[in-house]
Amino acid sequence: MAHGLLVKNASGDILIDSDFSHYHFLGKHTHSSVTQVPDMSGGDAANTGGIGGNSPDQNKGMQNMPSKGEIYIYSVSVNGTSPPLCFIKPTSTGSSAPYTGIILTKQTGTTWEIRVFQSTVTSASPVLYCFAPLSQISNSTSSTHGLKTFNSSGVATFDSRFKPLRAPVAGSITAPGLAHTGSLGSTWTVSLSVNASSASASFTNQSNANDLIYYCPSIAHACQKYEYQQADSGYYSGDRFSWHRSDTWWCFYRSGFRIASTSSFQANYGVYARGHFYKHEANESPWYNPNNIFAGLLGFLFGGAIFAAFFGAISSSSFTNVNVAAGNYMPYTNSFRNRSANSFIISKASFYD
Amino acid sequence: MINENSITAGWKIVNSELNDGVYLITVEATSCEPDFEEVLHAQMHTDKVDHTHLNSVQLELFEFDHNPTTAEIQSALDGRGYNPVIPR
Repeated sequence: MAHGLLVKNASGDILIDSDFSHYHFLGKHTHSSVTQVPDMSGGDAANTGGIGGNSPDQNKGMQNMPSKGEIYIYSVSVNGTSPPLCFIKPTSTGSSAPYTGIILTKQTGTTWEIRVFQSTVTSASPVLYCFAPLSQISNSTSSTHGLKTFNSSGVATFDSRFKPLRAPVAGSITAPGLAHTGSLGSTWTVSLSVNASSASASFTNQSNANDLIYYCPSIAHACQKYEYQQADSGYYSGDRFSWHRSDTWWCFYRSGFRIASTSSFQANYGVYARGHFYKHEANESPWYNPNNIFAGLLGFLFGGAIFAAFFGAISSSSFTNVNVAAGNYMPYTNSFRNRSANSFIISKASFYD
Repeated sequence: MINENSITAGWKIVNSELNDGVYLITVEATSCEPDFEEVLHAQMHTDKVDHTHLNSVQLELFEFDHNPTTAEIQSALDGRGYNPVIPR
């Protein structure tokens, strides 16, 4: 650099560079609303009531489906075009803590909408510690001492009076592949809960896990489905019957993160959206249906054509086309995407509280 | 005319994907009841009743660190308890 200020630590890491637009503390933000993706579920059942034999009628709703996570929505005012860098202060830490990650950063006028996904529903809510370039912070201060740098255009790039972002820890972490491993279900009981082992990244030991905040957007996702169908037809207790049921269950998972300890950062998934569709058709009628007997009599009186109709009527229906219609229920199935290494930055809430 | 739907037990791969070094194999596994008892079967033909064996089709997903052979998929299915025969 021909002019300016460059400050490095003993390891050669850059701490302050006057040509770089450093991020400074913008403020703490609590959510303005919370939501969940609505379930997509439904089915089509025809004549399935009171069918003999073994026509299955159970679990036609969302039974046995894993619980969804929730989405917190924040509104962050930033006077400029650069998005805020939002660190999450999670609701808890440790090996039982939920996984949390930013899933959306969207500009609307002078504010940014931030959406944070948390893998489980909790009474407490994550808090955002947000940072922005100095030029986008409208804070003022009466403090008259400190260090302030400018770039070659004369724009302020660092000001020690406005709590510059301090990142004692940084690293990268890769989410697991599939969210659910092993069997997807058994007959009409689905099994799509998150059971993948958490991915871990260790970092330099910090004194208090509950003081840590992190920046690590959710990028990886997975989508898995379970399908099951049964069909039967024949003769049961003097009646003829036929039935066919076909079901599809699915979950769409988003990655999230947690502070597992004072030296461990973990990644895994939560259920972001889920659905269940089915189609079930059945028919049953007595062998000696009065209509059939009437048709038989007509056949006896008038001959073959109606006699053939008699046999046609007595044949039970066969449902060979009972499948859940293909549709845009899920973006892809039984796979995962964007599982590249996520960079993460860890800071401390106490720096800014 | 009656319909006697023939369902064959067995399995087939419905999706195979190599993703991040992981082979994701989705298998559709079909199971059937054994043959009808002879007298009942004959009666259904006499009565012109459509019939088929009770059958089920279940989706299974497996992960492999290599492109699996048929025997390896069969072994994985066995490990999940796949039985091509639905017991009466």
